[in-house]
Amino acid sequence: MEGIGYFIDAVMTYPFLQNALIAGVLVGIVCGVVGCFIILRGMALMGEAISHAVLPGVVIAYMLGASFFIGAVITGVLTALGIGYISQNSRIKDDSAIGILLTGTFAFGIVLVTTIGSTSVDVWHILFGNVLAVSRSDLWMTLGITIGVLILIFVFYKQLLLSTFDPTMAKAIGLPTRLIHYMLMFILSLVTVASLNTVGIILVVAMLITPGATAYLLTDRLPVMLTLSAVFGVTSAVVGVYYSYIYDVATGASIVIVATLLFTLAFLFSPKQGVFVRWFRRMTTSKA
Amino acid sequence: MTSSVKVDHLSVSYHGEMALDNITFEAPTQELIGIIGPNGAGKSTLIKAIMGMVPKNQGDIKVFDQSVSRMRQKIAYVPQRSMIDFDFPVLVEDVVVMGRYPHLKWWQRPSKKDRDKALECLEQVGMEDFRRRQIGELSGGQQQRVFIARALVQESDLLFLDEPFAGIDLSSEQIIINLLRKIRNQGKTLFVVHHDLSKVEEYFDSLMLLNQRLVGFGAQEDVFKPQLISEAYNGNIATLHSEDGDGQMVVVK
Repeated sequence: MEGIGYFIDAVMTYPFLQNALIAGVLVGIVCGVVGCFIILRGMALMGEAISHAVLPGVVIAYMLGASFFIGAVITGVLTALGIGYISQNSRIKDDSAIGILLTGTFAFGIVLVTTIGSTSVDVWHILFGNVLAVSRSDLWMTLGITIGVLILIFVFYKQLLLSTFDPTMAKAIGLPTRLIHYMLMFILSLVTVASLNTVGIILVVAMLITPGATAYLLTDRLPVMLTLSAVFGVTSAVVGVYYSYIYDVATGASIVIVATLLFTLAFLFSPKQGVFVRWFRRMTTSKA
Repeated sequence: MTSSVKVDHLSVSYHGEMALDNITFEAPTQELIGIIGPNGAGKSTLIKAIMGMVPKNQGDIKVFDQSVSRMRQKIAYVPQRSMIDFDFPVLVEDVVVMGRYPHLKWWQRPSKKDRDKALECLEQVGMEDFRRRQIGELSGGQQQRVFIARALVQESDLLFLDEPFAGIDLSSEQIIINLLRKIRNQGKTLFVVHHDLSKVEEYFDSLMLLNQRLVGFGAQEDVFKPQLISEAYNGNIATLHSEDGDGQMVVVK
């Protein structure tokens, strides 16, 4: 594997590659951990909606010269509130409400980008990431979001676990389940901003769902699932950046492909859940 | 302490439709109380209203003569099994420890003592050998016992069980009803939402017949009467008389 030696040399030489790798690792960890709760609460589509809804916020923030971070959180949380409001106050069900606002907010973002002219803001980079252009300040922001979100999840782990596993008991003992829901939406917006450069808006949901789903197939304990998910997120990021550099392909997509391959392996060969393993077990027991 | 739950003129509506209409009752303590009624009678809604989980249109609810918000620690809830995702990555002992959460401050983690208490309660329901199993690996009856252990570890005086016998085989049902009796004999009050009339006389001390309004409430033998059941089930029953003219049988259509 001379590619690896070549890659390590390049990492030593070029700061942009170092930044790319650090950003990838951070995003892998934070998305992996948050994603577990998204999966267990059945909110994958919600994750997709929030990540798309971040686009207009980012563009408006850019136009006003404000931080991406603030714009993204505002439109992300507003969209989450909007989805809840529509499904509670009409006969429209949750998934349709999500579909409407996901596309609506995203289209609004695209209109804004095309209005201000594509020379000033690179749509391609926001949508698909540009991990090789991660600046020092981007890195600090990603680090800040990662640490902040991990602390939130660590402190409120007990509340998150109960409201995810048994929302009725959570309500019965007086946990603010609605507040917990919107806190997760807030976290989703933050995580999307942190992932903008690495995988971009379109693919961030893969970083949230795929490593968590892979881990879900391999364990029966939430703490183990959270750890494994973060490990798979980091592995996908590092291996993805490697292939992207060696073969000169889009980094975000390369990372997501690695994550998907890891999922496929778990899907086939997980000791308890693996399709292939279960098939093999059936074959051997029916012969015996 | 004279009453466990006191409900005064309670009305609840969902999406503009009346779910509970002007309910008033006072329930005794240290009893197994059955809540019976047809589908859509508002049985689950009633226990959720008592626990303060659904907004009420009007009415007043007291638990052990206090408002519910001050008594949350004292109330335990055993969910309908269909409400739980049994693929969830959680072990039996982790589920039981959740019963300690109401006793913990918001930043606290369950301590060794909390874990020991959880284990004791698992022993009480005879599930200690399964403590390291994932919750979905158990049978329906075993899952139900684990959730009862979770209610026990909460050390509450009032328990609400939503359809604990739904989808459970007969021998598990026996184990569970014996467990509920044991809990009652420890001095606790249990409300059990139940949809099957066949074992009512054997299981409950008091009975509540519900069909959006309160059709009857009182000692089981006073309430479990054909005419009251017929009223609760909107007349969808048949009454059969035994040959000696003494016994009656009620069949719900």
